[in-house]
Amino acid sequence: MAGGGLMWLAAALAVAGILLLRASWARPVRSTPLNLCAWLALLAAAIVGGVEAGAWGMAVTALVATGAAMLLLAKAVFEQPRWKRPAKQPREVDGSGNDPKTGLSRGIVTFLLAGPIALAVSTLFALAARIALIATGASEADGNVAVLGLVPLVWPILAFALLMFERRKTQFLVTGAVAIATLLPVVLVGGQA
Amino acid sequence: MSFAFAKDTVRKGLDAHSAIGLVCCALLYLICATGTAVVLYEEWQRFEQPDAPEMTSIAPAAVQQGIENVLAAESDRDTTTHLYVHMPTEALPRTTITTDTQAFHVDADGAIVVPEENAWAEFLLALHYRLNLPAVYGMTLVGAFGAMIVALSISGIVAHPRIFRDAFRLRARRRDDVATVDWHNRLAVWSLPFALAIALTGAMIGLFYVSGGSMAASAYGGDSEAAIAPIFGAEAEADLTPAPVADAVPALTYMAREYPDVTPYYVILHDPRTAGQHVQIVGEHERRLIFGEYYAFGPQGEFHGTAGMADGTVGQQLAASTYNLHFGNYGGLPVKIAYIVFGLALTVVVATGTFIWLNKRARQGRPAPRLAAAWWGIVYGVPVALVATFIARLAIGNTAPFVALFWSVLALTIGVALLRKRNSGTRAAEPVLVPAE
Repeated sequence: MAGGGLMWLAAALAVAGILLLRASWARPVRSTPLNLCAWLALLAAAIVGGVEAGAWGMAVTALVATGAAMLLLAKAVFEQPRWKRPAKQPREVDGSGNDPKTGLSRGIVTFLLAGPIALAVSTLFALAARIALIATGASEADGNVAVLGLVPLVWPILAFALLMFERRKTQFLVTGAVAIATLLPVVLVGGQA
Repeated sequence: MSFAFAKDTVRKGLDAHSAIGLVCCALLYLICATGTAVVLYEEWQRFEQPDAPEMTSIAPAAVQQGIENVLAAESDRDTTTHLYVHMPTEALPRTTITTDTQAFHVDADGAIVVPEENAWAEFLLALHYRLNLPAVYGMTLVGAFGAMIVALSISGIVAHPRIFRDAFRLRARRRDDVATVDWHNRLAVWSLPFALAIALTGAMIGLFYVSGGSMAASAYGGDSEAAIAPIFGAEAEADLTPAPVADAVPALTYMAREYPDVTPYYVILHDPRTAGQHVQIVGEHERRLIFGEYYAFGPQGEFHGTAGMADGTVGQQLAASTYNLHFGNYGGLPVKIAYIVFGLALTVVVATGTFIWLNKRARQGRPAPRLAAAWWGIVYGVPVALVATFIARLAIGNTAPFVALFWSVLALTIGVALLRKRNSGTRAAEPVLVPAE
C-alpha cells in the first residue's frame, strides 16, 4: 500500500474505531460514549483518508477497517461457546393451506414485478433523472453517468419495496405511480434535454 | 436511543430477503466464487505462461518496433482496426501486443517472442463477467445479480434487528445451525461496505446494455457509442486512405516529459496504417481509483488532449473508478489480498444463506433433502469444476475445452450429490436439530 503519513493515521484511526466498537458492543449494556468515540474514529479515518488521497484514500481506509473487523471475527472463531442450548425438535406440519398452484402463480407474478418490470421502471426513473439533471445545469457526462449509476441502485430498492408490500394492489399502484411519473418527462422531452 | 424496525416489518423483510436469496443463490454463488478467483487475473496469466519475456519497463523505440513487427506478421490479412500494446506493469511485467485476431508477447527490443497463451485466465474472466454467455445476455444477467446483492443487503439489515448489535458474536465452534446463522450474519455485516461497493460497480458495468442501451435509444437515436462519448471521449473520424504506420515514440516521449508522474500502461493504435489513425495512451495515476486517463495523440505524436477521466466532471471520474473499485486493482497485492478475503466472505454468505433457509424448512417439518443435496453439489461443485479446468490447462494446454469441462463437472457434482442423497435413504433426509432459542 503506497501512502504517506496521513494514510497511516487514517488506517490507525480505522483500526481504533473497530476496536472501540468491539469494546463497546461486548458490554452487557452498550456504552454511548464508547460507541460515539468508535464512530467518530471511523468518521475521522474516512476524512483523513479522503483528505490525503481522495476516493482512493477512503477506499483503502474502508478496507483496513473491514480487515480489522475480520481479524476480530477470526479470533472469535477459536473461542469456545460458553454454553450450548438443548436442541429443539422439528415441528410437524400438515401442509394444509399451502396450495402449490396458487403459490406458484403468485410467485411468478411477484418475480415479474420485482424483476423485469421494476428494472424497466428503474430505467425510466434514471432517464428522467438524467433529463432533470441536464435541465438544471449538469453536464451531459454527469447526466449520462447518473443513468448508468441509478439503474443498479434504484432497481434493488424498488424491488425490495415491492416485496415488502403484501397486497398485490399496492405493488401495482406503486409500480404504476413511479412508471407514470417518470415516463412523462422521458416521452415529452425525449431525452434531448 | 435505539432504532428498531417493527416486528411486522422485520418479518416482511425476512420474507423478501429469503425470496431474493433463493431466486439468486446458485448463480450468485458462482459469480462471487469466480469474482474472488479473478482478482488474481494478472497473476494467473503469469502462472499460465511462465516462459513469456518479462521486463520492468520498455523503451519507446522498442514499443514502436513491436508494433511494426506485429503489423508485419499480419501482412497476409486485413489490417487490424485496433492494436493494443500492454506495457509492463507491477502486476503483469510483460509487453503484449494484441490485434483484432491475436496477441503476442514481445521482448525488451520489440521482437515477437511467443503468442500469448492465457486461455484459462480469459475463461475465468468470461465466466465471472458473462457466465460464458454472449455478452449482451451474460453481462446483463451478472449485472442483475449485482443489483440483487444490493437488495439482499438492504433486506438483510431490515430482516435482522440484531445484526449490528451482535456484530462480533461468532459461535463458530457450536457446529450447528446457530453457527451457520452466525457465520452468515457476521460475515455479511462486516463485508457490507465491500459488498455494496463491488455489487454497485459490478451492476453498473453489467447492466450497461440496459441502462446505456435505453439512454442511447431515448436520446441518441440508438447509438450507444454516442451515449458514452461524453463520458469516455469519442472515436475520431475514420479516414481509411492508406498511410505509413503511426509513430508511438513521440507520444511516449511527450508523456515522460510532460506527465512524469503518470505511468503509461497501454498504447492503443486506432485504425493503424490509415490516414485517420491516431494514438491513445492510457496512463495510470498513482493513488487514484480511476483506471487511468486517456491521452490522445496524432499519428506523429502531436498531443490532442485528455478525455477527462482524471480531472473531468464528477460523473466522468466516478465512471472511470468503477472498474478498479470492482476488481480491486488499485493498491497492489495488499488490496488484492483484502479483496480475496472479503470475496471469500461474500461467497460464504451466499452459501450459508441457502443452508439457513433449508435448515429452517427442516425445523418446520418440511425438509427438502433433494434441494439440500443439490445445494451441497453446487457449493462443492463450483470450486471443484474450477480446479478441474485449471488441471486441464496444465495437462492439455491453452486449447483445453474449459467451458464444456466446467459446466460438465458442475452438473456431474450436483448429480453425484443427488445420487448420494437418494442412496443414503431416509437417514440423510432427517431434519437438522437446532438449539432452542
